[in-house]
Amino acid sequence: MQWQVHHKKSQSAIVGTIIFIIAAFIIAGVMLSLINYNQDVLTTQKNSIQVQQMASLMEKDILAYYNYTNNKIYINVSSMAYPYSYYISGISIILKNGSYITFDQYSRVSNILNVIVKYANGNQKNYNYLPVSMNPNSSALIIINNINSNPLGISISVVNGKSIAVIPVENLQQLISSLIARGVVNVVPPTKVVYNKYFNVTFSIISMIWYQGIPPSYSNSTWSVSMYYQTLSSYVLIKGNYYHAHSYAPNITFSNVPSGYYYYYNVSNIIFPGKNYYYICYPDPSSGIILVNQNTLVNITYNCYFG
Amino acid sequence: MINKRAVSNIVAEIMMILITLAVGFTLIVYLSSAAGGFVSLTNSNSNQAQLALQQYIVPMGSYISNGNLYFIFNSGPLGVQINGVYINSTIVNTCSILFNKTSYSLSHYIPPDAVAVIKCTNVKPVASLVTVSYNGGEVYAMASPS
Repeated sequence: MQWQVHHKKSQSAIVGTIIFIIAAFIIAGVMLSLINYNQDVLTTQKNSIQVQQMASLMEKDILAYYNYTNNKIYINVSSMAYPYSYYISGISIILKNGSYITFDQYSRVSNILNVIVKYANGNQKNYNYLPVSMNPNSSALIIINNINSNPLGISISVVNGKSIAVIPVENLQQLISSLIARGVVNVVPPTKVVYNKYFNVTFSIISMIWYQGIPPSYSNSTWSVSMYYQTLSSYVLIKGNYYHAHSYAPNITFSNVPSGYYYYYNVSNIIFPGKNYYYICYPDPSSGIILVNQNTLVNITYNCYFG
Repeated sequence: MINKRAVSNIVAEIMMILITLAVGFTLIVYLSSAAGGFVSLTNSNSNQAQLALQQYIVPMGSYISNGNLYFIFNSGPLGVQINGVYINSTIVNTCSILFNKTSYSLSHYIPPDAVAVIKCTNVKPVASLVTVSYNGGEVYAMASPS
């Protein structure tokens, strides 16, 4: 009987082992599946957070302005702080006459839409459809023709991978007129300021037009340019002066100007003193605005009169 | 006899363990497959639900003109299922969606990265709060007479 007892003990141990191993396999299988599921959920959550962050960056760093002239809307889109490529995927325009115009990738080719993209290397490419790809530091001029009513509101949508953001397009004419009418400081609080990027601005006299007489052959003078850089709470002033000898029209170049929301510039008059008379020369344009963009050249013509 | 019994027991135990392992592996394959299928189905349903919840629309403009309300929006990277429109918290049944030169009644799905327009007729020309409900939630915009 001894061996029978041992045999029963042995059998119960085997059954226990079998149950234990099967239970271990079941638990392992379920655990593996749960771990996979949990990882999927985490990945989805991470993607969602990244999408929100990317959209926020695009809204902050991509700038757009429009100008309505001669039945055409000109929209300037640029970014010097957004370090990624993106697409201009949609345009929406609300007009004063109650109508609207939209463009997207489903609109196909449009004969009233012209998008000129200027890349960082200076190359240009024209499109008349969306979406349009924008590399870092590239800018786009969007021209929309045959617009017979003033635009009331314009916005563009931009896409980066899974993220999408809408950029309100600001009215450049209102911006400039309010600056000229009320002064420079704190007139239009900028909503977007770009830091840590630099560009060059060159003011060049391209012509001196002498009215009421011949140009002086002996007088020399100076001219200057002031640039006001609007920031969130204050402004900075950059001044350039240049000695202006007769028949010599040098440039004034501001190198490595830090990017901001915009610069408002004033160009000085030039006075050529004489013994009995003097010439006074007025610049055209005498003031203006420079948007955050690539290197900029401002051409100035001086109109000179007897003073 | 005792030795033979002992050998037979050991062989039997080894065989039983091997059989158990085989059954265990078969079970884990089956369970993994079954659980995987279940998790996959759950994931699929969950993903679909999450994708629906991840739908978002971005308002691009809204205004009221000639008794019509216009709400221009971008359909986002996943497209969007538009379900209904409320004006000042009251549901409006006179709305349609204009997309790609075609008008659709609500509810309707708009494909990704599209610019579409919701148009509601018979709207009072006063500044109004527009609420658009879609599969991912709701979005609000103010619409003023142009």
